[in-house]
Amino acid sequence: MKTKPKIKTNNQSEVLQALLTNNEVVIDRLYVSNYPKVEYFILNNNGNKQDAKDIFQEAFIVLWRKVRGGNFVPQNETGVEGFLYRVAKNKWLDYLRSAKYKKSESFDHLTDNRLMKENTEIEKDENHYEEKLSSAMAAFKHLGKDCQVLLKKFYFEKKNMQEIAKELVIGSASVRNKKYRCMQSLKDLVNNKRELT
Amino acid sequence: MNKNNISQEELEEIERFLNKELSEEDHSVFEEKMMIDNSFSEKVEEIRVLIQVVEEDGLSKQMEAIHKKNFASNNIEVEASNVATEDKVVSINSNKSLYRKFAFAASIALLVGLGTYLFNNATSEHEQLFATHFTQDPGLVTPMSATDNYEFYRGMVDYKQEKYALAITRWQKLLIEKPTNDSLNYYIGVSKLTQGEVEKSLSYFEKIEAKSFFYNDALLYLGLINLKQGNIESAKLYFEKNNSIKAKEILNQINQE
Repeated sequence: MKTKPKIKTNNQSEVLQALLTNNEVVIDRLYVSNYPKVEYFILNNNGNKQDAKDIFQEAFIVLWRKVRGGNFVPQNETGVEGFLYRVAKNKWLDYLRSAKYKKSESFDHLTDNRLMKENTEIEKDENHYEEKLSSAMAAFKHLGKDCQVLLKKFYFEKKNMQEIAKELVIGSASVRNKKYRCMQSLKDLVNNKRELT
Repeated sequence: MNKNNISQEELEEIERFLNKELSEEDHSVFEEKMMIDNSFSEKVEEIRVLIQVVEEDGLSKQMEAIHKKNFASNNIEVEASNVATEDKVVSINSNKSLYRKFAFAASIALLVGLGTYLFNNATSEHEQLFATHFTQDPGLVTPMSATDNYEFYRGMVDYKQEKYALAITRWQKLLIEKPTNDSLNYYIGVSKLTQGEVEKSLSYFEKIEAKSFFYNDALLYLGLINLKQGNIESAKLYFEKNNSIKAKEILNQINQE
């Protein structure tokens, strides 16, 4: 089985490279070291732990997408850290500014124009993909369990055909076919959904 | 509506393109094709989105697992949402019950006999006893005080990642402001002990007062430290005060000599 390289460095570009391959260790480290600060901020700003978790995970996905899209350029050594924190903070403030919290006037941050501007830029990036992705995501969840598992091994865990064939105890030719058929099914599900709406 | 059926070969070529696995030449040819053939570039985009969705689903599930492992606590969340549940003891100090959960787990670990951290050519039986019974506190998930202290929390993350020197540095800075804080003294003590600085850890544990709920565990560590140093009578006193099953077991072994 392919052994994943051990990432000892904190070097930003290496971390980002590893993130592209969904390296377990790097994701774990990024999550564990950055979550506390976000939780602290949210807990001190009218949020609870569930909020903190949701917001942080959303921010993490934003980071991941940006790295995926090849347009994440860390400004300095704490680029990733800073980015995650800013995105999470802005998402939370956004939520607080929403209809539910409109009455509240206790946040000075709301008058910080710079923060508001930053938030819009990030939102724009997301909204562009948001619709496409969420309908595809819904379709994926409707896909058969076997297909979900198989596609995950290929595309998320980045395993190769031989490894997967071994794990699923089927021939690698079958694996190859199966992947194709699963992708076809997924494609059809997405398109059917679109046609219905 | 013709939704551009994709053949297996096409799918695999698109995958190679997206993974940047095509040769430079093939890659350029592919890109050119995308520029002139709209339906082709739509196909590529479609596959790109599908792959991304699979990845994001995997990522979400992984994040959930990481969170559960490192940050989730049923007791804390129950308190936060103000919902009492039947099968959970919602104590006034949620951290206390959380700590008890860890203390219980730690005592199981003790029974299994973890703890060879300080086993350094121990010749005396007492040193051996220390090595057999010492086990490191697993650490807290959340800070102790009601006003969540960010630096303390960060130190706890370092501690859990076994970066003891870093955790100690962070906590000692806080200790300047709060020299008698029990959590700080306790965890600095345990960190130093884990690093092998037995003598140095002593003073930290000694600062913990009887009213602190770290007191009992501090007693156990104090017993172990004194045992290692050969102060048998002091050690015995600490173990007697602690009075846990573990302590009794150790006392038995001491008295058998």
